[in-house]
Amino acid sequence: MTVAAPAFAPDRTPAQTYAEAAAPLPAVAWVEVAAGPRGGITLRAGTTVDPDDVYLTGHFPELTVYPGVFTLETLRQAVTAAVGHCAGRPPELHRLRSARFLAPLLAGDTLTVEASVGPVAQDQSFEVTARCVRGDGVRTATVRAVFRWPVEDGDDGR
Amino acid sequence: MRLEHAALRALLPHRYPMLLLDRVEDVTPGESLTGVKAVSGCEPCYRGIAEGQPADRYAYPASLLIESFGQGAAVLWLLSRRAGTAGLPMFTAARDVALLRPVHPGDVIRHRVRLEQVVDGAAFASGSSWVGERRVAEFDSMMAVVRAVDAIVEPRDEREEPR
Repeated sequence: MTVAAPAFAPDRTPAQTYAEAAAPLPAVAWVEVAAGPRGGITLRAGTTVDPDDVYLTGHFPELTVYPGVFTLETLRQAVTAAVGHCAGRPPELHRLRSARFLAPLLAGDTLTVEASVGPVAQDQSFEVTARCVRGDGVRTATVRAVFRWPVEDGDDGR
Repeated sequence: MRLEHAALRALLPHRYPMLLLDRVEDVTPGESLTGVKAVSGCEPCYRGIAEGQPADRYAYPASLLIESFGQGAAVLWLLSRRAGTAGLPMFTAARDVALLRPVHPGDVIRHRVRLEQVVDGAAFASGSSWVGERRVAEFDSMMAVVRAVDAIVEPRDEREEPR
């Protein structure tokens, strides 16, 4: 299917992605992107849980646990770095179809996200299916989500 | 019943800046809750934005919005649990969460949370988040459990990759 939709254009480092929009933490240290089926891509990205991160000091004071929502943040930043902007805007998480958090990530743990992304639909949305793995090989999460680039001048209903 | 911030700190183990619920305006334990979260440009999620970014980049992170709703659900559940059941509430699953509109500094979010069921120590909640009269997010199902710290920090050498 040929669509008049933007193509993926990886052109950002994780550090640039973090500096371009509000985010609780720099949630990605590295990203690798490869071509996927039907014009989509696959990505691998990773980070290490830093107990000195300001948000993690509050989750929790007695024990650092990387929150499930931060796995979603890691995925968002990885997707943004991997697909690039469209009309000057980064993609946003639009719909979380399902997420399962299976094992904890503690201080010093590494998280690797492997995801298939796209292809892009006519409405500038694309599906993301991800599995997340801890350094010792244990699967920590599975996520299915829809991201999209917002249309210019805001489709936010304001 | 209304809960001020001190009561939320007593119920939830989350602390600054991860305690993402300011007040509970109304709660019927075990049934429903309306929780308030005021978004401020002073929050650390805005500290890393490079100068000169356009206004849309200041949208409140979806990850924190979901966490804030989840903390409302946790309060609703924890209020109905018997005393003495210690542990950390853990977000374990979500299904069909829709982020509908961006939230910006200065906005006050109201989470309307319903506790759907509690099965085998796992709580299921649903609801929506609002800024004024606009719905900003919908939550079809959010699931959480309470785990003892010892269970979270269990030995890992016996684990195997569940592939």
